[in-house]
Amino acid sequence: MNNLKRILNTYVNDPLDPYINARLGEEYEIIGQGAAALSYFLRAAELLHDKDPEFAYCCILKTWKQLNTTTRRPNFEVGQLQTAIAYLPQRPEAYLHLSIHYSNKQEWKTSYMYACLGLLYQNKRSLPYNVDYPGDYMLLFQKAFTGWYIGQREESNELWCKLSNMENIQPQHMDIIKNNVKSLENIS
Amino acid sequence: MIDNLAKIAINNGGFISPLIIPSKHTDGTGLCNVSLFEEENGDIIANIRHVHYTLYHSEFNQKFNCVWGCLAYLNPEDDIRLLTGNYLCKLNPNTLEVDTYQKIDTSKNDIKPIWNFHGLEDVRVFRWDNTLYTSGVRRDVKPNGEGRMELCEIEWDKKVCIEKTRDRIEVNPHTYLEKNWVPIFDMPYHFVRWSNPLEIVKINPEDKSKEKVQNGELDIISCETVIHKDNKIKLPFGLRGSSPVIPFGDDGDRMCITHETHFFHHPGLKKDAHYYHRFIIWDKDWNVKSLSKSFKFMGAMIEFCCGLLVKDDNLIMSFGYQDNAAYILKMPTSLLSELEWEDD
Repeated sequence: MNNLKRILNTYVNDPLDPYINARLGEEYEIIGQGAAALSYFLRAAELLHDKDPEFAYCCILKTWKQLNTTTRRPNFEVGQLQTAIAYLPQRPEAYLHLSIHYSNKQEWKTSYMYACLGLLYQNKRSLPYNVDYPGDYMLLFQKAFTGWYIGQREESNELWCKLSNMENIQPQHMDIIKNNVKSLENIS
Repeated sequence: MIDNLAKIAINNGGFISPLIIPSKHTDGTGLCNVSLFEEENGDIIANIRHVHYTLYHSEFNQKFNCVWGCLAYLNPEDDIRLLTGNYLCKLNPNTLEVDTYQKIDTSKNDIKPIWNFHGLEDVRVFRWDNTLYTSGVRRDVKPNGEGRMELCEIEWDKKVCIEKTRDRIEVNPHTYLEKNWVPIFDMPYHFVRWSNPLEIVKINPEDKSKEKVQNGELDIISCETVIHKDNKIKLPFGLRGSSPVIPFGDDGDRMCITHETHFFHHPGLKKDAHYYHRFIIWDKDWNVKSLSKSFKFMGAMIEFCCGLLVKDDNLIMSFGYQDNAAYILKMPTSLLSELEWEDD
């Protein structure tokens, strides 16, 4: 609360500073107040539209993230991710989240497409705030996962094996990867 | 116009605090439109409105509209109702942050809603004759969304926080919507219904009747206009109720904060709005003594104030920011004379 109050005071003195708006949004996100967080991240994105595209893109993803956490607003979520892609198509994060969105709905072909599109834009500089992007490996993960369901099993097998040898993969993802590789070994 | 009252306040001896109900109760959706009351022992209590949606409001260059445009209520997409719940809180006397909170249990008087705005909206909390009340507008009992002010007696202690009674205030002649009537703290059972020109109504709690509606029965009380001025001040927008009316100064004056709304359309016919507030001071005979220039609390397009107190030498004001966040602002009363006023 002390951090929130301190940044709130900074904000009141300069409410049109986009970076202060984003910091205030981040503080609200930390304490679970997604609605307030959305307000300030959206302001930051708008204020930076012509000045700092990567930061603005990050803030649009933050507006998506708040309602992703709240749940039950799927059309809004898709719309915000599409907004982010339309604004800065050469970043991978929004493609990943759309891929996950569609794989959750078992719309494998669409999910696979977004994973492939995201893989075109790897090795980008990290965004200033966390937007639930664990790394480029997650696009490969999605491609392997969804490819299995759309007739690309050989490619899927190769990707699971490739992923199992990669570093900096979060443990919960590596558990799934290793499990899949083990299953593939049992099949063959 | 004053575009940032909070900045003036915090740079001249005041402060601002966020008002928070933990997200485990709200899923992080909006908290707003806080009302305030000072108990006889000096405790400050507040009602915080929880709206169950997140408001999406693109305020600047319209480059990042969401799928529904620049202004959208992000309620659950599988449930189009706009739900309101209310939390009664005790505020920390030093920081004015929320110390304790309890959700008002309205189940005793609820009937199955039949319109999409559910609950008592924009509640003001106060005591009249030592009884704790909330008042606000309810629109969920008739199929056309007809809204009426309701006066509700609240029982509140450490164990319970329940709405004991719910009386719907009927008006004559009939209207579609009555909202933002603001209680006059030192005149029990009186509300300011309109501010410009002034209309004060007195409700008649003893004049009870029943009204059958589709899903139940309503307790109705009547009201009558007791003061009606005809000296309308020429302003660009109508003055609507915001904060309750409170005694002010030593000459029998009274003060409140009003709001006004400027609706407009962006290219493409997307509807949008600016909300403004003003201080208004009446003399003891309810003649307008002073009217401030309009102001914003923190510069957002949508802000809404429901709370005003004078405590020691400070004004304490509470307001919602874009329906998504709630704040309380302390400002030395002496700063009022440095604001811009219509009669300057």
